Amino acid sequence: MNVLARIARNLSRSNPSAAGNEPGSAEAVWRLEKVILDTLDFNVVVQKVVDSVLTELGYLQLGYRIVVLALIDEDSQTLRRVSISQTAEARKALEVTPVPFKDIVIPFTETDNQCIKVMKENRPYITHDWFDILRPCYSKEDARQVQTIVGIKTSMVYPVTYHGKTQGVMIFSLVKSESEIMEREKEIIRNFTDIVGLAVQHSKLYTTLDNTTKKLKELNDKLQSANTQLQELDKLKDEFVSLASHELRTPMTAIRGSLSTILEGYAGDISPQSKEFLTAAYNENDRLIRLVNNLLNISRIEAGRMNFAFQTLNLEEIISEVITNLQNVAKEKGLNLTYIREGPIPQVEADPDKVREVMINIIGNALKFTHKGGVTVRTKFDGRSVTTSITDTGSGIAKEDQDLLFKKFSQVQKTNYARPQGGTGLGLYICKIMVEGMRGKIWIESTLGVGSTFYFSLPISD
Amino acid sequence: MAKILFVEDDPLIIKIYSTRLKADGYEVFSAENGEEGLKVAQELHPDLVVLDVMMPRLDGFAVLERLRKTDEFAKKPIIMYSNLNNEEEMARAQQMGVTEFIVKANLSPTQFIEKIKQYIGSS
Repeated sequence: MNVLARIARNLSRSNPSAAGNEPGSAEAVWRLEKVILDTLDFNVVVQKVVDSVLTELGYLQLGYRIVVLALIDEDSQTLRRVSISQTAEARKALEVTPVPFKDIVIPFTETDNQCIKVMKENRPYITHDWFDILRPCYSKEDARQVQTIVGIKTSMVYPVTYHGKTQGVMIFSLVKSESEIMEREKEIIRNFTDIVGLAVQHSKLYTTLDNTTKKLKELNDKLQSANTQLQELDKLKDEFVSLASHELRTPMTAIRGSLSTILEGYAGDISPQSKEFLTAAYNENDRLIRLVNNLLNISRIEAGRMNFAFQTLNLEEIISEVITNLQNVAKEKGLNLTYIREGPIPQVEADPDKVREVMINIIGNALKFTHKGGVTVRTKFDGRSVTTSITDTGSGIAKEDQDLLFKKFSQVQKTNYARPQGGTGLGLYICKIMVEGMRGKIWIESTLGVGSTFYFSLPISD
Repeated sequence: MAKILFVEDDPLIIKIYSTRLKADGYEVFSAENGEEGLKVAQELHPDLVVLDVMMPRLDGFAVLERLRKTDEFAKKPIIMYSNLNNEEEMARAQQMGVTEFIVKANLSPTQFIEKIKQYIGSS
């Protein structure tokens, strides 16, 4: 520490015999440095600063009785007393003071107060009158009375600075008169107040940092426990969705099985009218199954658990399976549902269940929103991937709605496409996640009044 | 005549599939839990076994595991089906040597019957 080294050097030069416990000795100064700079907690530092002058430095023997540290509070533009030495005189002053110690707050505008002056001019000041340093908190009479009771003759005010910036002041009150103060005492005090500036600034930073760290740790702990809770909830939700879907799908598949057994004539002949209603029931039930499947898919996507079981597969097999499955929906609406292969189609690398779901979703949609004409499915190979297109002769989708289609809960209102006719608005969002998960692409081309074509491509197997 | 064993605790499901399969000329047996399924399989020597996953006593996985350990069923087609949220189940079944794992809700009965025929040929 440069400053202290300088003090020590000066001391030993001016007073070679100064050593041991003599007030202001080189050893005392080093001790002071250690006491103050070893501490980082702000509240402890400000107390040690005022006490150690009297004890460690031994200035009590030189007639110093009360040491006060006051620091600048930038927010309120005031000078606030933060610590006072623990001496008998200080205790007495605290007993008789008309204003509580912590309330002795001097605004910067009180330029008649010598503390403010010292602070602004960065120059020490000596006075015999406490009113000079306590106004306007104390009246002149109060100041005189308290000073007399405590027995203080002289007070010195020193600026406390750090890197040339004033931090506050230190006030030393003595039971001896100004003429009895040695130059050497003052020099040591001047140098000491520089250390105080440094210690205060460091401890301020450290304490702020320490508090911030503590707060961050608390916050982190809270976040962690919230996260754990969320994970547990998420797992519960997952289990619930899984179980609910099982409980929903079991009766729905039984209904589908029963209806299809009747519809396909395994349970005897049925009238055309019965067949019509049973077909409607079958289709509606199928829609419910698709809905539950989609909700299940969404919960998997949200949980980041959409897994793909890749295998080499023949796309056409799945297409014809899906088309067969949806054929009665088309027939019921008087629509054509056809498949056209445009050239030879190689096998693709994909998850068959996901491909099936994507097709059911898109073809199912196309059938739902087409009322005249039909739906045509085509496959085409471009050398790297197989693109399946699903073209309908429906109402088409406005340009501004096309981007919204693949978003979650999309509601394409302008073209009266999704919601008004039922559905969750989840289907195409799921398709997009699935197709992209299989390293493919999905997109749409559409003209209002003419119809739409949905495309999705899948990479071929190596 | 090809023989099919359904290990399934829901009698309605058994009835739906067996009605169709019998009409198509298959012989269909059923067992309503895993334990009984194991016994019936070893007594009646079916050409194909359909296993539900969630069943009382032994579940589908346990039955699959034990059947695969026998000489007779080491290579015979065993199809598992479930309606659970089943990607994990599917992976597990595949590890244990299932021939095919089917999500009930994804296939219509007709498609399901097609699958069966695919493995044992028409009756």
